[in-house]
Amino acid sequence: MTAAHSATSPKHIGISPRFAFEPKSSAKRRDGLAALAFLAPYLIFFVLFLAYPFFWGVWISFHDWELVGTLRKFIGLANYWDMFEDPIFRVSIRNTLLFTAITVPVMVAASLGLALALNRENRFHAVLRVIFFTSSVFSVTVATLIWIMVLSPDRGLFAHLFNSLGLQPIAFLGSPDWAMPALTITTVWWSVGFPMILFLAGLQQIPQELYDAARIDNASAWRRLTRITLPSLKRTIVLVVVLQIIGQLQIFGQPLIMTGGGPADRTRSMVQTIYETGFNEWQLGYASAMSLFLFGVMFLASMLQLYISRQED
Amino acid sequence: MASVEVRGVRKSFGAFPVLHGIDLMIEPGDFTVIVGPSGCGKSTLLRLIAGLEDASGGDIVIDGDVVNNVAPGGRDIAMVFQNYALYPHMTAAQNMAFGLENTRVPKDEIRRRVAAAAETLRIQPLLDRKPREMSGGQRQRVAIGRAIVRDPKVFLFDEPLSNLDAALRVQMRIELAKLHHQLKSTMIYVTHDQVEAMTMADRIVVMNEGRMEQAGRPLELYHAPRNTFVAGFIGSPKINLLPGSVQAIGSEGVTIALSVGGTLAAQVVPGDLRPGNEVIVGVRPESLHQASGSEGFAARVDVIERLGNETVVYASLPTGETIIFQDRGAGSIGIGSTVRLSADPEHCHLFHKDGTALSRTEQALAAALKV
Repeated sequence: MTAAHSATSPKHIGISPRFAFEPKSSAKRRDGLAALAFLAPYLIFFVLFLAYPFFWGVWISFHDWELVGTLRKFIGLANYWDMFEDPIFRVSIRNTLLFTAITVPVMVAASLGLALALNRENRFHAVLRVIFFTSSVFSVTVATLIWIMVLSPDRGLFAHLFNSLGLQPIAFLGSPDWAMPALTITTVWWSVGFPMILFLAGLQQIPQELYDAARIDNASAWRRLTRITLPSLKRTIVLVVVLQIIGQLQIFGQPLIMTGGGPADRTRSMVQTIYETGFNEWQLGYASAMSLFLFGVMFLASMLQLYISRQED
Repeated sequence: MASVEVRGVRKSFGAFPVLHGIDLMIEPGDFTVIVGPSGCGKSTLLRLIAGLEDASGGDIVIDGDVVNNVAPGGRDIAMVFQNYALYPHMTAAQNMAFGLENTRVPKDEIRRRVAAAAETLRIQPLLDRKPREMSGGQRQRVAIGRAIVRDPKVFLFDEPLSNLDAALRVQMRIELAKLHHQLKSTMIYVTHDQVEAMTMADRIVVMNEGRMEQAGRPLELYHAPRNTFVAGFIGSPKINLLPGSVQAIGSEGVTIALSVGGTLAAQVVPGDLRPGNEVIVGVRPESLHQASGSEGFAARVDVIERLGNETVVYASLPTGETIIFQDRGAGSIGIGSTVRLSADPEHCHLFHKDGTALSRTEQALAAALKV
C-alpha cells in the first residue's frame, strides 16, 4: 500500500466501515431505479398523452397542415399573425374572456356562499350538500338540455313566471344581450358543486377555537367572516379561482349545444372556433396555433393568480 | 375584578349529561383552579362561564348579573385557550388589538394598551411576528397578552400550559402567578395537572364525572380531603389507600386492622363508627416511615427513585398492591428487601367503605399543617 493510498483510507478520514465499503453511487443508483419504477406508469402516461401531443401541436402550429390530405408546409409564425387578424377569432377571444370574467366571480361567490351556508353538522345540511353537488355529475348535454327547457320562451319555467306576471317572456338564448348571462347561469348551476366541496373542506380545516376566540373578542358575524374565515380560506380561494379560470376559458359544450355560438356570434367561444377551424375547415396548423394561444392565456392567468397570492403572504 | 357564581348549572350534550348541577362561588380577585381528570366536565364548565356553550339548566352570574343570555363578547371576560387560538394571518400586535378594534376603542388607546401588555409580558420584539414565526411559549405569551389588553372582569384559562415542555411550564406557571398578583383580577384556570393547581391556586375546585367533589384552599384539600377521589387526585406521589376494618376505638383515635396484615391508627372523629366496620386508611407517602418490631405492616421493595432531594420507594404488599413511601434513610433500602412501614396516627386519614372521609381531629390537622 502506498503512502498516498493509506492517507485517504476510510480509517484515516474517519468514516464508518459500512459506508466506506459500500460505494455511495451504487446505493444512489438503486434508489433512483426504485423511484423511477414507481414513477414509470405516470411518466409513460405523461409523455405519451401530454408532453408528446403538446410538442407535436407546437410543431403543427408552424405549418399549413391539413387534417386530411398531404399538405404539410412549414410557414413559421404565419398562423399566429393570421390569428390576430381573424375577426371570428377576435370575437371568440372577447366572448371567452367576457364569459370568464362574469362566470368566475359568480361561481366563486356562489360556491363560497353555499359552503358557508351548508357547513353544519346535521342530516338536513348533509342532504342539501348532496343535492347541490349532484348537478356536477351530469354531463354537459344533460345540464344544457335542462336549461334549454328552463329558459325556453314557450314552455320554460321563466316563461311561466313572466306570463304569470303579465310580462312578455324573454327568449334568453336568442337574445344578444341575454344569451351570455344565460350561459353563465347554466354553467354556475352545473359546476358549482365541486368548488363548494373545496370550500367546505377548507372551512372544516379552520379550528373552532379561532371562532371561539373571536366571539370572546366581541367580533360580529361579519367581522368573523371577513377577518377569520376569508383569510383562513385564502389558499382555497386561490385554488378555486385558478381552477375556474382554467375551466371557464375552455368553455365549449354549453354554447355549442345551447346557442351554437349565436346569436350573431355573441356566445362563440375560443374552443368552438378552434374546433370548427380544425375539424370543419380541416386547418389543423391554424387550429393548433389558436390552441397554443389559449394555453398561453390560461398559463398566464394561473401564474398571475399564484403570484398575487404569494405577494400577499 | 368581579365575582363569578355558578348556580345549579347542568349541561347535557344530547342525551349525555356532562355536568350534573354545579354550585360554585368565586370571590372577586380569587385565582380559582378547576382540576380533574380528562372528561370530568371542567372545560365544559369554563366554556359555560365564557358563554361558548349554553347551559341546560342553572345560572351563570358575573359581577352580580345573570349572563345566561349574554353573548361571550358581552360578558367582559377574556379567555386563553389550550392551543393558543391566535389568528394565524395576524401579527402578535394585530391579535392583541383585534378585540379592542371590535369594540371601537380609539386607535391611540389600542396602541397604548398593546404596548403596555407587551411590556408586562416582555414580548415587544414579537409584536410584528405572525404566530407561525413564534415558539409555543411565545405564542402563549401573546395569547395572554390578547387577554390582558381587554382589561376584562374575569380571565379564563383552559389548560393553557399543557402544550408546553416541562421547563417552560414551570416558568409560565410562575409568571402567571406573578401576573395574578400584579393584576389582582379574578382568574379561573382549568387544568388536569394537580401540581399546577396546588402551586397557583387561591382556591381549588376538584371535579369528577360532571360533579364537584370538593372546593377549598389547596392545603385544605391536601390535609382534609372529603373523599378518596380528592385524596387520590391531590398530592404527588399519590396517597396510599389501604383497606381494613376497625379494631378498636379509643380516646387516641381509631385502630384499624389492615387487610394486608398489621395495624395503623388514625386520629379522626369516629362518629358512628363501630369495631368491625370496613374502612379505608389513607397515608401520604411522606407520612410513612420505617417501623421496628411488629409495628405497622410489611412490604417488598420493587423500585427506588432517587430524585436528589427525596427518594421515592415503590413496594409491593402481600395482596399485590403497590405502596409508595419516601425513604429518609439515605439509601439504606435495597430493591428486593422487605421493610416494615408505619405512620403516626395524626398523619393518617380514614374513609368509610363508600369513600367519604371521617373528619380528622383538630390535633391531627394542626400536626399535619405543622409539617
